[in-house]
Amino acid sequence: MIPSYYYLIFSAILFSIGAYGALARRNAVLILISIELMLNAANINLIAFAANRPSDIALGQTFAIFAVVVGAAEIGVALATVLSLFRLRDTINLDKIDLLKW
Amino acid sequence: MSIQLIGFFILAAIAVVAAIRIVTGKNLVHSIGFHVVTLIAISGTYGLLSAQFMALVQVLVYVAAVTILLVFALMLTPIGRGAVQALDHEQRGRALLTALALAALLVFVVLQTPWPQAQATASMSTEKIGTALLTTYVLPFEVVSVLLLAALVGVTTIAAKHEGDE
Repeated sequence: MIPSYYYLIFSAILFSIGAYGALARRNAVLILISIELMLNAANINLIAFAANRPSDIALGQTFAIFAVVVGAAEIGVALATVLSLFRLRDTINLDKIDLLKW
Repeated sequence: MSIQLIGFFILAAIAVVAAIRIVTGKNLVHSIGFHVVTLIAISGTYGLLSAQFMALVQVLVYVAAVTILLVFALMLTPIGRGAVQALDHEQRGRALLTALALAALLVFVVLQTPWPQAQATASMSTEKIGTALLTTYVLPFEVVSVLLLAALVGVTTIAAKHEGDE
């Protein structure tokens, strides 16, 4: 049995890489990929906790499945927004999209 | 060192290296490719945690569906059409510092906290998930299907060309 903190450290590293990507990029699609990475890191945690509670293993995994569904819905809506933005503003560089910035 | 531990280290190393390539690469297509590699490695670690169903869902939903969506978005936006622009922000240095601080904090907290450790490896869990989804969690299951429908309608509305555009 692998100690659960190995998984937690693994997911912490993936989450930080995703956070770096979301902060350091300016292309909307790349920022979305980074956010997907962070969502996946959270799912690893849920499943690692589930595996360490064999009596109710279904609980953590069910939660992770719901997280996957919401993540899929999120990426669909986000990419549609990106397409719509590109049609309106001719760019997906998020620095140039300042319609709501005062 | 058990065979599972070796497998975990190999998968984790693949996932982390590919994730770093995602956020540092200069080519969007390569980033999406490395994203696929990371997702497959993560689904391998799900398999090590005896979460076979989650490993399958990961491959079906993320590796297949989400990647196709990303490639579509890529082809419909300027980088797919050859207009090169800088992918990185000038605040990259500060972003790196923030991410390193976040990683250090998270690892520190994880190492300081005592975690419960199961003695036995969990058994096959897919049957238990199916039972749980259709008995205890049947309400969230239905709610999430409405959410997916709402997302479907919303995506169609947002992405459709409206009368009077252009």
